[in-house]
Amino acid sequence: MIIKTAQYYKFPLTDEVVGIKFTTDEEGVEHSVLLNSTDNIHYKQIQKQVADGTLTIQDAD
Amino acid sequence: MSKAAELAKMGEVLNNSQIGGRRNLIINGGMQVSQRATSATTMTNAYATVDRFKGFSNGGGAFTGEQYSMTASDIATTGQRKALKVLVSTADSSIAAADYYAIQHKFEGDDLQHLKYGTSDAETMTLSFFVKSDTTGTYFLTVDKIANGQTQYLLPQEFTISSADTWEKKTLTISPTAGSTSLITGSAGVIGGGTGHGMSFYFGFAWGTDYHGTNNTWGTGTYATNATANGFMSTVGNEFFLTGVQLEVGEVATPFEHRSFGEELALCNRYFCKFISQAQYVNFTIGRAYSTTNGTSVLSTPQPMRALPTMTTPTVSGNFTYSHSALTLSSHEDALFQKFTLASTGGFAANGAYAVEADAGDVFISLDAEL
Repeated sequence: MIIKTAQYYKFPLTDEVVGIKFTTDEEGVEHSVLLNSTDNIHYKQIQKQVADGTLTIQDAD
Repeated sequence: MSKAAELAKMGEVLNNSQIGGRRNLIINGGMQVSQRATSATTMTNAYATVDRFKGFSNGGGAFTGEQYSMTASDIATTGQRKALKVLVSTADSSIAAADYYAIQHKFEGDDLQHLKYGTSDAETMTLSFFVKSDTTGTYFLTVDKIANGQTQYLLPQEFTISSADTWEKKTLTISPTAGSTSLITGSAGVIGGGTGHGMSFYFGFAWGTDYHGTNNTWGTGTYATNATANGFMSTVGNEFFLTGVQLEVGEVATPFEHRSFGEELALCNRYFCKFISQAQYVNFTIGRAYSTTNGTSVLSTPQPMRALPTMTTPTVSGNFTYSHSALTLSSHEDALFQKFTLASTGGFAANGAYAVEADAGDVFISLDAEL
């Protein structure tokens, strides 16, 4: 599994960043995962790719 | 048999832990549950078809998986109505040193503590399964004791498919001291507890030379042996079927423990659940709009999930009513990971209710907490 793009997102009610939206090579779908989901395979993959320098998480809109 | 002998026999069986409670450690071993898809879907390092069985590969080849519905003859032989069918979709006729192709089944650490790995009392396990392929030869079962702060240990075991296109039942004994090693009975053999990844089993089609070790001997980095390649991955269209997978404590393969579809689905739902609309305007959940553009709703899963999940939907815009343009996980509501708040962006009546609702059939919301 390769994460292609990632971007933080906010909870509109509080304007706080709560998660990361991301895409993989699977087209036509959207994924979201909460921050600090440390035992989630996608979250771990995002962190790995960031550490490897192959992914940058974009700021929230 | 005398009464005393009967009681002695009962005690022996009970001591083997083979009739007490649930025997089969494999979830969905009968391949009944296939929430993601039932038709052929690429399995490249993904759960794509039957639940709990994942593709695991590295190299230029690829294979698909599908939930295969058995014929009457298949059922008579295996006692199973479904199987995982693997089909080579891109050939790899020259397995490089670092290449591998396998099916993986993962276990949580907490579910394996009764194996007593990491102690001198570590238990022997028995794996049994039905397999069929058009490609005969040697395949590999690999037991992967995940490191979890200790050491990863691997046990490769060869098994042979002798007759093409014929169901064969395989039984493999997994000894904690296989190869006369003490890796598993030593302290570093412990399986980490908790809800994380404790162990994997692989049904391997091909492993490159980087991963070769000695058959039926615990080691490090040894997923397979140097047995002659079976050639399964070398031709597009080659097929491999797997069902009736059972892993149990003890040295005897007992009959397959059939669980109802409902029981098996509930076990799978700890790792993955998928809500699918059967038609337009099907509601997933009801929300409260706190403005004309934003609102929240709560989605409950059938079972508490293993961990915080990933939520996946089709492209939100156009697939959900109320002009939804965004739908994201915003928090979890309980310690059991069973209730989740979804944040919606769309067109609402402020302070009114709205539905998180499909704008077509086959729209879905899935939650994934796989290992």
